[in-house]
Amino acid sequence: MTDWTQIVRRHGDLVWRTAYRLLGDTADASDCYQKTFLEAVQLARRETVGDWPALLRHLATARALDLLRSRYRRRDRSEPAVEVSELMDREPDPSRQAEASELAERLRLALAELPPRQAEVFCLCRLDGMSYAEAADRLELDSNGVGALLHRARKQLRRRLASLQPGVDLEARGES
Amino acid sequence: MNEPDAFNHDDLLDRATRALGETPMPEGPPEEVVRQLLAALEAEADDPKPSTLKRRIFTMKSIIRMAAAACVLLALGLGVFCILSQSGPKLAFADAADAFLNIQTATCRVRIQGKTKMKLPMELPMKRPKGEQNLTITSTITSTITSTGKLMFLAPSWQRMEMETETDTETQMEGTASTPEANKILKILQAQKMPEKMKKRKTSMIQVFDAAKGETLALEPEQKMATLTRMENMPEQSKNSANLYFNVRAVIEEARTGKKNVKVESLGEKTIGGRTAMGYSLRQDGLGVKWDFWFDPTTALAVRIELEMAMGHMGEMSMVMDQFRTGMDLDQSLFSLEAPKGYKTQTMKVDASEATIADLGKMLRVLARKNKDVFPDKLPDPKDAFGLIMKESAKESAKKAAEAARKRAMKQQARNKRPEGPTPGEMQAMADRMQTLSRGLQFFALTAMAPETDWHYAGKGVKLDTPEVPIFWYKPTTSEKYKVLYADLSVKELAKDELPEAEPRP
Repeated sequence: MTDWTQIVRRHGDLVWRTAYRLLGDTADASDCYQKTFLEAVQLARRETVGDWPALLRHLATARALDLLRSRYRRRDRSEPAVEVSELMDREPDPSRQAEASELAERLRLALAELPPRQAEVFCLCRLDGMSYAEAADRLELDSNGVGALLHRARKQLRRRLASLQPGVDLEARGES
Repeated sequence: MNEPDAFNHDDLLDRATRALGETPMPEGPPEEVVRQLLAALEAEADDPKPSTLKRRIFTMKSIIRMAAAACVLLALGLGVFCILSQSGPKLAFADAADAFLNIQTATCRVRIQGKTKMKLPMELPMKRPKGEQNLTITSTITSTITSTGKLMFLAPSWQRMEMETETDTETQMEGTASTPEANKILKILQAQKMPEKMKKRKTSMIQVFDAAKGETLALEPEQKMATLTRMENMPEQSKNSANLYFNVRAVIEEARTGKKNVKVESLGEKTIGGRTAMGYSLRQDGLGVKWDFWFDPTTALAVRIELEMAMGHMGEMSMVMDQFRTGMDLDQSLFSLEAPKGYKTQTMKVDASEATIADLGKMLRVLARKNKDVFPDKLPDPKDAFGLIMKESAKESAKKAAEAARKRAMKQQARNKRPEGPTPGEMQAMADRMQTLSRGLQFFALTAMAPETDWHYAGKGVKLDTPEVPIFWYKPTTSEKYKVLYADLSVKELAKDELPEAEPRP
């Protein structure tokens, strides 16, 4: 019988960091944290889990990306789609932290617009530092597939980051 | 494949990645969140049955999300206590259906595969005295069709499909010739091999559909041809099911509300692309159509939709929609019904009004004409509907192709020349003929054959245009009287005791 309290205590921090880094918001990260473990319960019923950290990191990434997509979709519907533009347009903050925060927010938006698999591969390989083989194992792909998805993800992200340069109105950006 | 390259400090993406990786974060999740989670996990351990929505509600903490969950429950039209105590597949389907029906923008990949086999008998009269039959050939055409492309949906009423289609066709020709001259032509036709470029064809098509206007624009980029089809007199309720994405929505809506003859069965869970998906099978009785919907149990969004459609002895067709994305910006210009510059435009009209018993009559006349003016022994199985319509369409094309081949054989012209496509007038005529069949079958499949409808067919052996002989009758759900179709295709309303004696329907 799986000791879930033990698993939450042991790996909770990893899940929290993965979620918070992508979401940058305590409420959303908390939601993601809970969803990740509850999904892990379902998975553990069907299969033996050999590598809990890898599984939880993958689930946390996937759920965080879902929440990111939902967040930007909500904003598109409920608010004028200028939030990031406003962020870009505001007076430059002299501190490096503000610049980093702005860049991170831009990347979050770009990730939310990527196809889910590309976004997952990018997060697992570039943010979590998984090797191609580890990511391939988690995503049930081969290493070449991971490489191809990562290549496409980087290409798309570069393009989208460029289109989100300060002053670019989000209303004006088109889908490719 | 190489491992990821080192960070490039000048690259905007790498700087953003580093910034995201170094996001300052508070220590651990709030204690309350951990406490809720542990309580939920404990409850899971006590109750191992899956309960997606229940669990989601349990872990929802903000008032806003609780309100959202309550709205979902209310939308289902069921009592909250009832739903929470069930936690079965119907609940989860309703949840997923609700999410699907509320999508404002979506894109997905569409793959269609089909294999059809058609036998097309035809007579090729030659310049001989009237009544003499010179050459009868039967072509057996086997086609494998693979279409792949992208579908875009923009609420409330737009759909765009960009499809690439590969068709691999094999033709076998058998025949009888009554004169040496006809026999010579038959030999030439049989010896001809289909040119490779006709055997394996690749075509592109873009189709834009506006449900509000009931108009479809089909673009053929290679030919620079645009066809605008106007669906006239379309009832409001049909506009919501008149094209692929709208049809998917209509089926889900009907299944969710338990309408008509759509049956929902749980397919359990399976892993699709590394993610767990929950599946439901939706069967439309009598139509030979089976839909499998796979949803992400966490987000309730569609992961994969599969359609299998039987076409009777004609073959079968299947379709898969996957790689769903939702909530993106889609430029309205993608859904314009104006042909791009440089395209030649033709316009066609389709009668999209609700099919009636008169349409069934027109269809039966077509079938009788093919059977020496005698009505068929039984009504065609709606499962054969698609095949029957396809066959009718293919027959027209084959007739033109065979005629062109005959001319080529006679004149010993170049063999690889593709026959010219139909003219706009021929296209409209072909569409009208296909409409006659489709509307008749539509009436029969959707109206008369509904489980609650009392109907009878009595056309077996009856000659077309015989007066006062009823061949079909049914009782509309909204009427006390029966509608009766006669062999001369007239329609009358009769009370039940005025109906002819009929054998019970098998």
